[in-house]
Amino acid sequence: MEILKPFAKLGDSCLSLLEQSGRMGIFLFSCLVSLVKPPYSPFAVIRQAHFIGVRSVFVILFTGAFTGMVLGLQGYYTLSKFGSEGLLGSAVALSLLRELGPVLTALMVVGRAGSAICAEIGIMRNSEQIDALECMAIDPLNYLMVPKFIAGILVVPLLTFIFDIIGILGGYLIGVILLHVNGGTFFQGMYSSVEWLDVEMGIVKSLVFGLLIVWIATAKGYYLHLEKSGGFGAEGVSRTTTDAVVISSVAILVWDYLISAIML
Amino acid sequence: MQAEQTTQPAIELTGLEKTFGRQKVLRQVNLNIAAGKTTVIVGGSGQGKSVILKHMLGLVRPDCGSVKVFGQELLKISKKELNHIRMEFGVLFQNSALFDSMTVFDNVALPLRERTKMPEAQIRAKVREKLDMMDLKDSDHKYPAQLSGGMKKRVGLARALVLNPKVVFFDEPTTGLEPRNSSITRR
Repeated sequence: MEILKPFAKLGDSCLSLLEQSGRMGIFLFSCLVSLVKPPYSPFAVIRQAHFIGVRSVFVILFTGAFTGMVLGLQGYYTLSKFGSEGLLGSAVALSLLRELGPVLTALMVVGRAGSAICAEIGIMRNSEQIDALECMAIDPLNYLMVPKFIAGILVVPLLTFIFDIIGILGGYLIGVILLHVNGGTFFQGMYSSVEWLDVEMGIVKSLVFGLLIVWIATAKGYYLHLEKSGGFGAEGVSRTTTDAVVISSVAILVWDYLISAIML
Repeated sequence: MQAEQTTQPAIELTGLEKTFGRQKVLRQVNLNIAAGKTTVIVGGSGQGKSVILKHMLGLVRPDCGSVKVFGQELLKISKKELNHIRMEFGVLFQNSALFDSMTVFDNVALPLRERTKMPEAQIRAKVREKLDMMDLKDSDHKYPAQLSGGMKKRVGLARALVLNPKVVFFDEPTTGLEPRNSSITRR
């Protein structure tokens, strides 16, 4: 019946969403189980850590420095209205440690490594390389995904640490060197306002974001052939990679809020 | 398909059905493949030959029916048991399915490195033997992207045979091969 068609489409979309969510949940569970199962491949983890981490350092340094610089500039402009320039150090440090450091680092890693991971796994799926692994009795989750999961969880917090340090230096450069805020006040404000909870929140967020990035990128690539919009060919890989980047970015912002709400 | 000489069929498909979306690809497929014989499945393109093969390998689950390999029902066994059966298989995929980030040598060595505890020197000897058999001894350092279609097929075949499997599956083995090289698959 024509009148029921929109309801049928809505139901179809809901079922598809449920199916995809369930598939991704099972995938995550299977990968986490595979994390503790042998064989362990430290060299593969190092290779992935190099790919996700070392090759992202330049972009992290660059974005971290400019984020800190803009925080210094905007913070000084706002605080000077209330005669509170002395609080610039604590404003820069708290913004970076709690929010901007973990979130912007994760978004940079999504753009640089998450998209590449999704495309790599998707192409392997399309060209039957994953089937070939299974036929050789090699578990694709253990062989392909686990090193990426370990590397992602280890490397994103380290990149966040680099981002925070460079960001604080960027804020110092603008606030103290260019705008002549007292250097001692800058660091004293930071020292007195930053608590362990702020650092802890940054660490928890970056760990969760590392897991989210690798999970979404690998799962989207792994199930490329089951994509409802058609996952085959170069177009399928490009569409799925775009989806993975969008879903990862949204998931990072949603989880950022949830973790903040839980920990504050 | 080649298999060890026994009286029991190596592979039995019973009442196999498979639908992708709205397209019914397999309808009540019953097939016994005897051990020790070469069996060829012939059909037009898109009629489900590769899908049958994937059912035999346990890569695809049927909508209904059963798949028995060496007397074991693939749908009822654990992943560990399935992997044990797969160790007896060698598969040459339609598009070779070579790992494009690995050299020819590493592609052929992969099953030995991951599935056996063979020392590296022995692995090297074994891989060289298989590559020589396929006339590929000078291509071991190349990447799949640097090979012709026929060479990729031969690398895929070397990889399929490197563990000396009991059963070898060929999905369109001679497609893209010139007559001289297609005789390799017949050997």
